[in-house]
Amino acid sequence: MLRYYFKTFKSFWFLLYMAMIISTFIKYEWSSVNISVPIDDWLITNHMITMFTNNAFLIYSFVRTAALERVIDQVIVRIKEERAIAEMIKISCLDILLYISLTYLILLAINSSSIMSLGVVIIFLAMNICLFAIYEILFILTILHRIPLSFALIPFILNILFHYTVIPMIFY
Amino acid sequence: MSQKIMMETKKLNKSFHFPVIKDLDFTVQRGDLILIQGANGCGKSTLLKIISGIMKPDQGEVVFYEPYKIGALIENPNFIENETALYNMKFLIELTTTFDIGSVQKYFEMFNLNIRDKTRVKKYSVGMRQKLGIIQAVMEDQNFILFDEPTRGLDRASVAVFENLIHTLNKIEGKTCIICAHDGVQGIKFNRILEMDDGKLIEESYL
Repeated sequence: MLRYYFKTFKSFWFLLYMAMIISTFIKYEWSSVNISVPIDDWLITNHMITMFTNNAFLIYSFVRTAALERVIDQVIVRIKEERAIAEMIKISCLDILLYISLTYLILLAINSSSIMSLGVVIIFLAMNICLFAIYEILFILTILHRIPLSFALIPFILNILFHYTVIPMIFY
Repeated sequence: MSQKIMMETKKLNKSFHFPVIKDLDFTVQRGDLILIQGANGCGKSTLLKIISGIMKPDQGEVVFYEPYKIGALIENPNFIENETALYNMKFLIELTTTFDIGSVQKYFEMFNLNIRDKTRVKKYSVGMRQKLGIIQAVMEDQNFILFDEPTRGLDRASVAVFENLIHTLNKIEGKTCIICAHDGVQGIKFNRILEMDDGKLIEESYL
């Protein structure tokens, strides 16, 4: 299953996600040419990551989930349910690591000098990790047929709710 | 062929909104070729799913008494739709071992499929998908093979190929096969025929 996961890096939706990340980098660098914009402030208030980068990543995850959901019975026959779940947890952990690293950590590392508050950055990243862990649990439950595939669309709603309600309540 | 109990179900029970399988005790001997018949919704597919580990019973257990490797085609064969047939087979084989194209190629040729075909599986016809479903159930030298309506969507020539394949797997290679079917398997000489009724299996004939 891990091999299939790595193969999906060549899929259209993953490449779109990468394109969104590059656009985010360019947008930040562009906006901070004249005025110095703190990177942590920018990440929290910017809508681009929520609307484009996150949605591209969620579509990529949803498409991969739908593909694995179709073949899970054949996987379970071969490796049993316990090992299939372990493989999916590995994929989910890699997915969260990949998302946090590509979307935030690289940008933060490049612009570490413009971080205003390290505490805010840590809380923001921790919240994102928790949120994506919820998404991944929904994806695993979908693949195992414990919930219908349509439930894997919930992350798209949570993504918007998180950005426009939870984030302002905590950081503004 | 030595007859030895290979698998046994003990007091299996499974309910959805109503009981489908009731206290089912069923033994399978090594080398059995079993046909299970029964009305739609009587629990044949559920039984195969429980035996294969896809579904858990509410009560009871499935016990294997010797090393086994299950191959199964239950209900509709599903694949990673945006990939080729070869990729799908490779994906499944690599879950447990390394991929060797030779072991798969003979089955593709047997069913008149092109292993190098770049067509994505989503473009395959029902019959072609069924052939792939049969191939994935036997390609890894599985010794305990479960088929649910295996000839659904197959043309006459392919049904004949399937019957020959079952003959080879069972009579020559000594593999154990359980087939649930209504029709299309008249050419197969089963040694046991069972009827599923009211959540239980009734032995109709034993050769």
